[in-house]
Amino acid sequence: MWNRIGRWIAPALMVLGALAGLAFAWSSTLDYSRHLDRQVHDLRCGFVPGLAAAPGADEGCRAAIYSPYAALMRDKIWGGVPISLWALGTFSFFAAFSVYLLLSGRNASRYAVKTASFLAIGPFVVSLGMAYLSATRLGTFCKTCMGIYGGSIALFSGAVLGFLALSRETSSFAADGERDTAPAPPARAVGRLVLVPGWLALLAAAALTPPLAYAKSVPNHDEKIAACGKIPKPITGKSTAGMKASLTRTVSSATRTPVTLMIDPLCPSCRALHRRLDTEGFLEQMDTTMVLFPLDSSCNWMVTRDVHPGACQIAKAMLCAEPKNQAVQVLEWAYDQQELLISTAKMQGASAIDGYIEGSFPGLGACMKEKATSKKLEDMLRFAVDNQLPVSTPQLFLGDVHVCDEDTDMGLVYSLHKLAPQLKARSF
Amino acid sequence: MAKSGPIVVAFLAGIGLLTGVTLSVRGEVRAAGERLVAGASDEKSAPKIATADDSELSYCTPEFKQVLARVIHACGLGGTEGRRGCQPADVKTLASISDEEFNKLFTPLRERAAVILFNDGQDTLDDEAKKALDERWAERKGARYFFVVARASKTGPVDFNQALSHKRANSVMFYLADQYKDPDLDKKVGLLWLGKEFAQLDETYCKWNVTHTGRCNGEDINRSAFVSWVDCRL
Repeated sequence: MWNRIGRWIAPALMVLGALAGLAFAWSSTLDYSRHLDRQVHDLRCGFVPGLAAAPGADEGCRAAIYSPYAALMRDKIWGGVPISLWALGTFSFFAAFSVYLLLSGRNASRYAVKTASFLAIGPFVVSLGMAYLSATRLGTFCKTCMGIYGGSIALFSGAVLGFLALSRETSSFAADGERDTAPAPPARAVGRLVLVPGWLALLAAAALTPPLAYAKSVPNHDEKIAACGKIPKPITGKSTAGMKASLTRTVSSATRTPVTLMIDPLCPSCRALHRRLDTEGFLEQMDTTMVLFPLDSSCNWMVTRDVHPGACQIAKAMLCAEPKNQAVQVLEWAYDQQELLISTAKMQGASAIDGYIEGSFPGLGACMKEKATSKKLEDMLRFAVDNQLPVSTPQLFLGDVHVCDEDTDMGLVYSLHKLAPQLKARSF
Repeated sequence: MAKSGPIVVAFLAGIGLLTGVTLSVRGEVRAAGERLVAGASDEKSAPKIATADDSELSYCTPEFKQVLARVIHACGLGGTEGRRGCQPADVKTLASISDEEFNKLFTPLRERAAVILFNDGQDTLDDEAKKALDERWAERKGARYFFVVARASKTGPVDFNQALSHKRANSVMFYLADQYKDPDLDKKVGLLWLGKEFAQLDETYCKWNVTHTGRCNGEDINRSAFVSWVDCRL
């Protein structure tokens, strides 16, 4: 049985694992590459590589490609170099190596089998690490990534089986030799040790080829990054259009960069941007002023339909919590409870949000109903009017420089680094 | 198969796979680059995002906007012109509407507006007037302009009443400037003074949100300044 495993099953499993990993990595890389035009596209996020995901079913993959773990060199290249590119070369190498083992059978040397087994640990460990990050940092799994993990596991399983079969082969050959019974199959050649560095070099060359080709052909985004220009009326010290808020508990010793963040507390994209800025380590380097812009027609005359009903109440709660230095806590609470608050407002009406606010932050109700609070919110809304901004959230401003919406996800690190070189992303 | 056969097959397979995926990725990157330069086709089909602007409600009819435009462009709301306010004849000429039609334009503002009454021959704001002004000023919402339309009663000569209504409009303006220290006030507040010869109000306006409630008649209602935010864009 072990003979059959070593001869067929193990290398076949390796071939399948490598091809599956390659297919999913290729699909993921194409999705990533498509976004280099700075637009939002549908993702091929599914267990069938290359097949487009159903609407709304690609959130896991989107979270993954926008995360800091999706690419390297993100401050050098817009969007960075996706790590799936390394997987392309790696799986191509393993597919070829496995095909060799499959076709060679017992003619494959011991060094070849052992090297394949040893090298297959690499993709397996990387996949384990990425799965851990998905679970603990992103809180979601992307199907394409899971396909790559599956391919790595299959590849590693085949490699382990091949290694075990080789061990059995060695021991049974020794036992057969001692018993001197039926003619034993010819012993597997040990092979030449000198080939091992050669295989390693091939693996390195294969792994590097797609990233190098990608980096060489990636378009220049510099002109586009600056295209959103400057706003004529940035928030100054005397302005009532913004709310100073320390969005991080860490106080950086470095001089902070003045930033204005225009947000809707019930907007998922705002939450995503907030968390990206936090994860990347930017928030702690920013002197942030928040401008509340609820996409809710009950307080925002620019909104013709309620995109986020209840957002006005949350915004007013933030304004009322500001004197107690609790505005950020209200915002973080709203972000954490966003799905619940949105669904409650849609099913029971926006007024139902008041109960949740009172439950978590008692004593804000009276202030929220005051005209002065509405006036403060109107002042913030006028920031958008005065600067002729799009009616959308989130919007990010570095001083008076408007960071284009298209540069706040995949290209965030590169764009911020270009527009404000003093801002440094956290290393991962 | 010859001993070198598997090596050759595997090598070719590896090269083929690597070349295939690399070229396809490079093709996608280049296509994205071309879309980036040309402006993505998705942009054309994507819904256009509105630009933030002042509110505009249904009462902003072309006639209403005509009056509004007259005040904005000729009466100093642009902030660059040297003078503020309009002469009654200007409104008559440019708006080309009757007194009744002029007053009717403001009817939708009944809930939004206040009519601040002055004592006979006076232009000073009393406490009730200031309170009403503060309340109206705070109710800006999305409005771009704050209108002040001052009048005088039929009592007295035309010139005197023109000057008096002008002073009443200015009293409102000075109070707002003093109270709110808004550097953009000149671009927000539009003044009209109509004297006694144009668009006099009738007694029904006493039922509006007027100061001096309880002592309003057909004469008193015109010793006034009508104030309101106006939810119109130009």
